[in-house]
Amino acid sequence: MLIKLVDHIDLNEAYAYLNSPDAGAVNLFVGTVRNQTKGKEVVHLDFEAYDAMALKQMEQVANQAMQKWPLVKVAVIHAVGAKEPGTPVVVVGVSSAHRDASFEACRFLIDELKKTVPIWKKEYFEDNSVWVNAHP
Amino acid sequence: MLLIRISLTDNRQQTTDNRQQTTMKILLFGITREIVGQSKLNIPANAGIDTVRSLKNWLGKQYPAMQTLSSLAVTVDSEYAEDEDAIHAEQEIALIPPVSGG
Repeated sequence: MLIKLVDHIDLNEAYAYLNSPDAGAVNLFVGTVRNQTKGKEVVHLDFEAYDAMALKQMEQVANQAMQKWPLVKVAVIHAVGAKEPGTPVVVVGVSSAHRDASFEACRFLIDELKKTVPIWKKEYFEDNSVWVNAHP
Repeated sequence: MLLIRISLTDNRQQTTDNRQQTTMKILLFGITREIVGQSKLNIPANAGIDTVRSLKNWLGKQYPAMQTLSSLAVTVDSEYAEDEDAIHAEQEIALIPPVSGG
């Protein structure tokens, strides 16, 4: 498994890691910075992680995916720091013999990552900034 | 298994206090770091905190803004803890406001 926190996401690195002669499918989900939230322009985002625990949780989610589907390889990579609109901030990817497992596993990886991994996103607008999800 | 950490934060507890009355150190992230105004909070031993619940109650009184959050989890040595779990100063304790990665 490739589990990392990085300053910059390298999609080629994720693909190179996942691709394997044993696999007939490589599936990557890439989460990127959207330029607006509820119609308000986002200038940039800032990601902060509880590094040690985030890596542990990312590894746990990857292990769960390995148990649920017959996967060849799994990669979970998240960026930290300031990110401009259009920039990739998270990559989850798998390789597997057949495509169904790869689609399902990727969906599972990103959904679980969003629920459990201690990473926080702050959105900066022209006139203010907000920690996403912090308040009801 | 390949585990690599590229970015380092300065939040890790580096030293252990050997005095009998040890100060509990709480790591803070995201909005909890901003509410407190620092990345680590020292809680005096005489605050009487011995469970996750007592920590949350103390925080709510000291920092009323904590009560406005959608949720507030506590981790002990990088595992999510329940309100009734015991905590002590030698553990790595952290506040986890609502996560928003991805």
